[in-house]
Amino acid sequence: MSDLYELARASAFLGNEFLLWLWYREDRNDGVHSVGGQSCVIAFDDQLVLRVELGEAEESRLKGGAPSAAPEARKALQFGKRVTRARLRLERGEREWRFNVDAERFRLSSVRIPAVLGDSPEMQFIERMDLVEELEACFFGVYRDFLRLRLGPDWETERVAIARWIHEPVAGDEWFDRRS
Amino acid sequence: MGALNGTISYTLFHVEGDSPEPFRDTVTERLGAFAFEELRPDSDEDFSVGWCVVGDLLDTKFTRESLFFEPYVCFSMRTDRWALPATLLKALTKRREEERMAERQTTRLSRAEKEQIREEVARGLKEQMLPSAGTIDVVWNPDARMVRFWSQATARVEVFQELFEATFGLRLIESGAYVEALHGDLDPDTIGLLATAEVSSFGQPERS
Repeated sequence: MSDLYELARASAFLGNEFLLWLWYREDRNDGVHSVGGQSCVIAFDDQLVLRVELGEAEESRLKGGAPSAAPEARKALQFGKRVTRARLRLERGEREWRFNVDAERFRLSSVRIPAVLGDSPEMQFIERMDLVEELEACFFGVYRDFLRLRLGPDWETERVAIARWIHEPVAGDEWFDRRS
Repeated sequence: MGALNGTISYTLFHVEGDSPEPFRDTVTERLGAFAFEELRPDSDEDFSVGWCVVGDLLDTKFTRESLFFEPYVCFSMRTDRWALPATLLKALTKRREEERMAERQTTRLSRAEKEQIREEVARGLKEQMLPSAGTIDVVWNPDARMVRFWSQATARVEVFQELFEATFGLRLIESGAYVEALHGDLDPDTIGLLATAEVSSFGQPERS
């Protein structure tokens, strides 16, 4: 138990890196992923929290609109902040889920599933659970694809590409520079 | 908010160990054995936890119809707690102590007497009030070996985990970045690398 607990604690950063990678992939290829031979899209929605521990925790909370596209968000990455929480949108076929992800606990919350169509309360319950399981299967499937890359020989190339993307000039750079 | 409707926020667990057999009969029997029991004012217990039927916190008679929705098993964890008003308890206890000292024409009471008075006052308050009660839904998919508990509050999750494991003799492993790596189709070599993975640096790369 303690081994598993320690490994789980030591691996918590993978949740941060996974969300960062999803963000990068959304910017580079519209967030298209393939799980089990079926494609899905994972995109950042309207809430984003970034944090860095520099003695004290410094946090940026961005809400509304498309915060991942905001210059403030990219600037926060450039300052060394990492994604700790985000609201994501997952599209698969005609269906769409929206949900919050806590990067370190790797937990989903405030999940909004596609409309359930069952006639009876029992059928609606089963459909509701099936949709939650489908979301998990897809999201964790993409996560395991990320792990294959993250733990494989191609990660170094990807890491450098992500670092370059983070440090690309963003709109409003001059404004930020004048402020700092 | 729970499994049947409302916001979907939950803690996901993987179940370790084989499901009991015959599954339906055993699950029904075990839930009954750990069913919720009401708190009583004359009891020393201030907290009670147990299972009840989903959607009805007063119902602890489990039936196949109320439990099994193929492939899911659905029930609720009920917790009751006496939430005594601390200020009132303290004031009433002080008054009762003063009355007791006056009766005995003394200026001091022993620690045991004070404790007894406090318990009497607490019991009197409990007889005039109801405990605070709450339920949290649980959905178990035995085919997928997964359990979802409709709360993310650490204290409640711990109580649930302990009760579930005691009820069914199965171990629950909470989902997380490491645990989800173990429960998919990653090859053992890749999983082995997880233990030595270090945080990536995304600092400004050197220009080539």
